[in-house]
Amino acid sequence: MTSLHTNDRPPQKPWLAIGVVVALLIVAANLAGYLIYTSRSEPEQPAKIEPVAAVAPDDKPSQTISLAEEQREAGVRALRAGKYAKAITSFEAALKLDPKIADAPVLLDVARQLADSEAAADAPAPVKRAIARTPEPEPEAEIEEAQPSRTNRNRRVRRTPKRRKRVAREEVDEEPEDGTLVVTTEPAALLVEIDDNEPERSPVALDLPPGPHTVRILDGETVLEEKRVVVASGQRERVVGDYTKRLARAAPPPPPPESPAASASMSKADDLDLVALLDRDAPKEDAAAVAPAETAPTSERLQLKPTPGSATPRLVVFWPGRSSGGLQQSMRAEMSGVDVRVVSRTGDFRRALSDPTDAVMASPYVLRQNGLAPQLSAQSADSGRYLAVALERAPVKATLSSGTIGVVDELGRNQMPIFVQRLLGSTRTPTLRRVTKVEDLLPLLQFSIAKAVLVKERDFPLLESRTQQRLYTIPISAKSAPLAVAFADGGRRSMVERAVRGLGGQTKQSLGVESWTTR
Amino acid sequence: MNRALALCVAATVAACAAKTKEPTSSFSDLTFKRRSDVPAILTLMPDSPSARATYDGLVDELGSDFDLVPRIVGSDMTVEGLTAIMTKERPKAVVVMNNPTLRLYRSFQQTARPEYRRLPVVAVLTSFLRETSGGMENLAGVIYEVPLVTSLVNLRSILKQPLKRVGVLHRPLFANFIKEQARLAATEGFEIVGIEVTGKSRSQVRNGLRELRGDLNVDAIWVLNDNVLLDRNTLRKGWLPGLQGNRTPVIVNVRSLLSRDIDFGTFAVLPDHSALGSQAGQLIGSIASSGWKIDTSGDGFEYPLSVEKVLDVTFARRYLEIEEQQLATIDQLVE
Repeated sequence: MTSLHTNDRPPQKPWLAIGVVVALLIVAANLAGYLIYTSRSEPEQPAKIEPVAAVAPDDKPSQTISLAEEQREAGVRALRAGKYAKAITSFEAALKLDPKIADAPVLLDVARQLADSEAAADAPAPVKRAIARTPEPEPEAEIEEAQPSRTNRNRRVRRTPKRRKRVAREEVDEEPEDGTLVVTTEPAALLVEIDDNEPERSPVALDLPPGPHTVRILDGETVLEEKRVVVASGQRERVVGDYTKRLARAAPPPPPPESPAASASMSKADDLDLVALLDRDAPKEDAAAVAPAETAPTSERLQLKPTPGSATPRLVVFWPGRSSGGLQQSMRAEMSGVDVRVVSRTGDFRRALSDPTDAVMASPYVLRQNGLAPQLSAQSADSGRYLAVALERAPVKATLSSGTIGVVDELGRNQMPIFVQRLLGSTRTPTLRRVTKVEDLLPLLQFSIAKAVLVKERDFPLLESRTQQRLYTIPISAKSAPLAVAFADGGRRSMVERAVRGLGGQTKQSLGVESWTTR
Repeated sequence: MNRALALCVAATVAACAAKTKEPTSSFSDLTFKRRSDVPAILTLMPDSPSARATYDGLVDELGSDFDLVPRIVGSDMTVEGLTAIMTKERPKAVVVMNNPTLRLYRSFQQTARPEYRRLPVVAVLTSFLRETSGGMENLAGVIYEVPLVTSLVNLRSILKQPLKRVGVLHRPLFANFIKEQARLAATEGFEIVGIEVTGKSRSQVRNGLRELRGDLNVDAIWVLNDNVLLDRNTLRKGWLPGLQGNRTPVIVNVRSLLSRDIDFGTFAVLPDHSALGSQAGQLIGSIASSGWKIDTSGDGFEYPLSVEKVLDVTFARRYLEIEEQQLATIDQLVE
């Protein structure tokens, strides 16, 4: 005020300034309210992949509230999907962002109880009760509609409820003309997945209904890029991607989803392909952190060289966790005319494939990790579930990743932590101790090297039979894929395939296989 | 094979517990090319098949991310020679295999510059690592001896008959070691019955064995890897007479003590050298991810996790009740 007087300017009326400030505040508040409203009522938002522990900048409280809501919703979705660890992280993040957020403490409690309880996976009541008090969120993972086959190229096979309604309306009115989506990549032959359909090798051209579609470019199971593309009716939309530099650095691929053939024998509750969902949801930054930034190895892509025509065709079987000798003996006896080599260590597997080989039998994710496409898939009644096993008390899934976990090695030091992280639905990369035999998991517990071990459910009796200590288990609700076979281009596929299909009952039982189907 | 010759071989090999296999190949064919962009792990090792197998396990585990630089350490290696190697290779960590190499490295460490003294060291193939590594800094490692509980769990898995009481002869020097093994074995329901012998009197060994089989009525006998108790004379005049007409399974941790030609070991449980390499590699991986620092929360030593099993199946079928199906889990059956 002093300075105003000294400048001889007429004195200003304070009420006018106050009025202007108040008016501006009202406008700002209305604008903020409108933005929040529109962001919450945004229709047709696709299920987003969100960083689980997003932290809002301290100086933006309105964004903090919005982020808190987002975290709460992410938590609800995770809870519905049975991913309790993720749900806990999301609810905790929501409460951290906004301690007053309505029902987050209750939901957090529920998530913790479910995570702590083995029975939780089969008891959805508390989830329903807790969620009933809240507005229905958009489900993150939709149950697949009845469909002829996942390999059917015919458009979307997963739709949100809202989407179904809208499509139904459109069909009543008038079926709009499809557009065409063309995806090309450099290098070619990368996997292209559109709207969660079975991936196909690029280049890909698909007729699709008009509207937004999700395109994912994959190298094996590594997502190179994911983008939303809007296809207009009667128009051609192009997606072009150059991934040569990125592939040269070779990001490690995640484990692939279960084969549809294998899921056929699963119960309805198991129908959701949790491994695939976890793959989609795993925070990319965490996955990247697994591989040492500067020392990440180039993921070796195997190029199978078939045996020459004069030699006996060769099949390499990767059989981790078990003694390979007995299986090799019985397979050789039953597969006359095929040179069978069974190995159980990752190093031996790599070495075995350096010699000419016509076919490789391994789990589909091991094949894919090595750049091999499964062409013959095993079907099995085996649940394929993993169990987390501990001494003294039942392990808690949500806290497994905070200690060392023992596991039979299938993918090596860089890939296995990613696989287990996704198996557990954890945001944290677990510390692993990998062993080559199922029986070696027991010393990990006996000598307190690991807090818990992960074992396939069908291998658990072997572990249990070796100890007199009580083993406490919880199921890890994700499926491990059964075996599959990849064949070398130009190799004698028919000969090897016939021999594989002709394996006897006891050998198939050892392999955990009931029958084989061509993919 | 002549019985006396077999015993001679057994005693000689038993005296070197860390060498469990007959040499099958020379190490001279090992070549190594350094990559410029990955950290080096210096591997100081003897020229032996077990060291080679351990090295292969290390390479399988770490080879994609690190250069495992092998250097053969013979009896002519000096501290100065080791200093020259360290200066040339500038490793991030060092793997030391066997007791003489560990002793040499300790001498090097005591006189080395601080940056070398601080380097993490992982020891493998070293007998009684805990007891022999005094004075070393920044040391972790995998103990060479197969823990008794591992041997017993493996034997129990193939038996239909009970296996609870297990007898062992040992010198007073090993009392603490036996106590620790008994503690671990107790978690699996085994009871260890120890008899102290001095090692100077063969009759003590003979009588001790008879007592274990007779009055103490043990279900199995465990033979400790103690080269004093396993010298040729003690074997011939103590162990073999003491085990005459034996029908109790005898567990050994040296391959040469199980042979179709001598009535001694029934079940051999041996370290899997390739898996030892992999286990040591995982220790190094964990050290690397901790900024090349050793976890100081424990003593840094681990028991071996994976073993190879050899069974005298003729003895087993004749005198023991065994689960025939479980024989598939045995790595080698001696008939």
